[in-house]
Amino acid sequence: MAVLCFALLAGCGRNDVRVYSVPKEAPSMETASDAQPHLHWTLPSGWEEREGDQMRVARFAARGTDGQGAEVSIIPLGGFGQQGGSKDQLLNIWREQLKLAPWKPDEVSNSATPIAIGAAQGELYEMVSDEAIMENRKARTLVALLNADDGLWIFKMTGHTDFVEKQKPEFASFLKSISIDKSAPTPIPRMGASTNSKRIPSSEEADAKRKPSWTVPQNWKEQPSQMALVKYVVQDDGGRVAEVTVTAFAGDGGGLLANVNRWRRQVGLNEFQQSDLTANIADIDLGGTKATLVDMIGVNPKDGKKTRIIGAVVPHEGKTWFFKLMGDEQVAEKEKQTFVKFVQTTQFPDA
Amino acid sequence: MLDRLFRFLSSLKLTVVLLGFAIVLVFVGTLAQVNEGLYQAQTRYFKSFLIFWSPKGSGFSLPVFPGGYLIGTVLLANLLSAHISRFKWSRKKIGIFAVHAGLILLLMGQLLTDALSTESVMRLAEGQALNYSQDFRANELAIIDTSDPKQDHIVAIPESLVIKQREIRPAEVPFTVRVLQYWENSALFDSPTNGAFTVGATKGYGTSAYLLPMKTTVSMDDRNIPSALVEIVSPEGSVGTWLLSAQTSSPQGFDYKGKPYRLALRFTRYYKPFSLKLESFTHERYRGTDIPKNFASVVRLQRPETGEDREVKIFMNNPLRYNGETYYQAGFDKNNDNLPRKITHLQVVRNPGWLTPYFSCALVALGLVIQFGQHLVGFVQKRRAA
Repeated sequence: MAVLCFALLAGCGRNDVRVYSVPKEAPSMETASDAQPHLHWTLPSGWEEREGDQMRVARFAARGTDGQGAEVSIIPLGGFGQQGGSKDQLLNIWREQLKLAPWKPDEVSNSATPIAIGAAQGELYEMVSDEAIMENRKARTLVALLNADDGLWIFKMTGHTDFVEKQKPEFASFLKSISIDKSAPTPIPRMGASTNSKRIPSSEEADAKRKPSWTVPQNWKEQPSQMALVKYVVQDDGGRVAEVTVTAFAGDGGGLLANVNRWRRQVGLNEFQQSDLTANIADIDLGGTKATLVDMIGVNPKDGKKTRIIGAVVPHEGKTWFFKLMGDEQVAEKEKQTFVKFVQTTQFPDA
Repeated sequence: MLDRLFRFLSSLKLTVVLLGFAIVLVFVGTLAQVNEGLYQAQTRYFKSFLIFWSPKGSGFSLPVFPGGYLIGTVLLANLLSAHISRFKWSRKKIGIFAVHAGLILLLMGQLLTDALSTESVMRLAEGQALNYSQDFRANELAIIDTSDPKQDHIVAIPESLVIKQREIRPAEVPFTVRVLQYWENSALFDSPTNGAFTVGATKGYGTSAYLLPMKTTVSMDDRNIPSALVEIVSPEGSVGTWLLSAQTSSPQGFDYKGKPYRLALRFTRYYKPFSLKLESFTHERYRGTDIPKNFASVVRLQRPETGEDREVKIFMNNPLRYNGETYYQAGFDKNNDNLPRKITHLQVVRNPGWLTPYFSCALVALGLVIQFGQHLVGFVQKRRAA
């Protein structure tokens, strides 16, 4: 009995405050050896330095009057291009965030203006949202890209459009002041990891365990994607292809109408009004969760081919999941039922 | 009075009732895992003295059934008192005694295991060394005094105290921790999203972060990411308000009376007097499939105080037993194929009572052999005599 009492008392001790001393933690490999290249800069007045993370080696915040502000981040992409990433794709991630239609390759080259980044020459891109997507104001993103021996360096400023416009000289002088210590090792973040993460630096335990699971049809082949959570490619005997992607955004991700219109623009269709939307959607059931299904056929402005998009929008637990099948019209038609079944097999982490 | 209590405790009827309760509890508790998840159902049905039920819409709860601890404890008392009251030494009953002693050991061993064992995980990337493991579920609010150049002095407040949202004044620090808000599960964003809000922190990343409260999870594959809004109050007044979250490991803190302190809300850590460094991780699959065939971690165990420095290979069914703990090869990062340095997950189990099931089973087996052996010998002798 005495043993039992001891055991139970010892068990209760787990809820007490613990006091202990431990040797100082050596900087982890990820930050010490190859994560943090040595960067130097001159901070413009009014900017505040923020804690960097695995992806962004440095972060800054600039605040203006009237609640306006902007965030600046520096992202090194070691081995960029070797793993299939392209500059167009990268820029189109940010265009998508601003709810803008993707740039074609020639638009990308026409939009670049030279800018000094330290002693080197980089390219500056500017994009402004059409809609008021940032606290009822339009958003503006400035992206400076520097091709270096060790990969691609991204310097990005995003914020309220008027404020970012005013901050352009500061951003330019900041870029001019940058120096990258070449003796430092190559940065680690690689293409394949999401570059449009909106989350604050997170412990991987937290992120990894929040992904849903689903049953993937056998003929779908998974491919790495930096934009989507997962990407599958399906090809028919004639070599025609369609892609399935799954992405998630917090909240309603901008709303159903805005997202459907984004997809419509991608296949060169006119935008829907709310009344058009209501008439052109169907519901599917995910074991209690209602999802919205949309289907559209248009022409892909990139290649002029007839393209179909079948999308399912699933709001769940404060997030909205976007499942999208896009590609050759006939492949999409053949895969439509499989796609719907795939969406319906989704098991959310807390289900 | 004591006599009556003893008679009650040693009665066979009580044994039958308790076993009946145990059957119902196992049945209900197993079904409850569907909705409540394994961990919560275990805590509510098996790791409790009483099971409470709240009528819908009411603020109170009523005890409706005995929990696992109560049934187990009374069953143990029942078994012990039955032995004491009916114990009569005879060679013929030695087998029965051994069987019962085995059962008592098994019950006590399970209670010991439950009270003293901890399970945690050590997540290592190739080349990384760690001297602590992290709890699967429990979290702690850590106040770290970093003024000593060699050591960090840590005051770790368990989540159970933080969750009560009250003032905590650990004796080891010269200030009070006031927990203003606590979210059991949350996500932080650095831009406004629908439903996410700023929490009004005055210092640290919380000044610009947006918090989205999430439904608490009961899934075994998922874990809650808690966040807390914490104010540090010194005798001179408020030092500041911080948003702490297990989602991020970004350090934040303050200086007080010349000493630097760091604050963190993190998965409860269990420090060891040694470190494990992952030298390499290998993962073999059956050809043409993603089905794991074998996965193994080669780790270097280093203990400065004893000068111990050796390499150990941990793989499936071949754990490392060291320092009263067992390190199992539990898993790996699912993105390993794309990572320059592979990541392994070692499950760390500290269970001082891990040998008791072996002993008790051996004792029960021995008892049964003796008991049936005696019968067999008696039977054979009788046949011979006839």
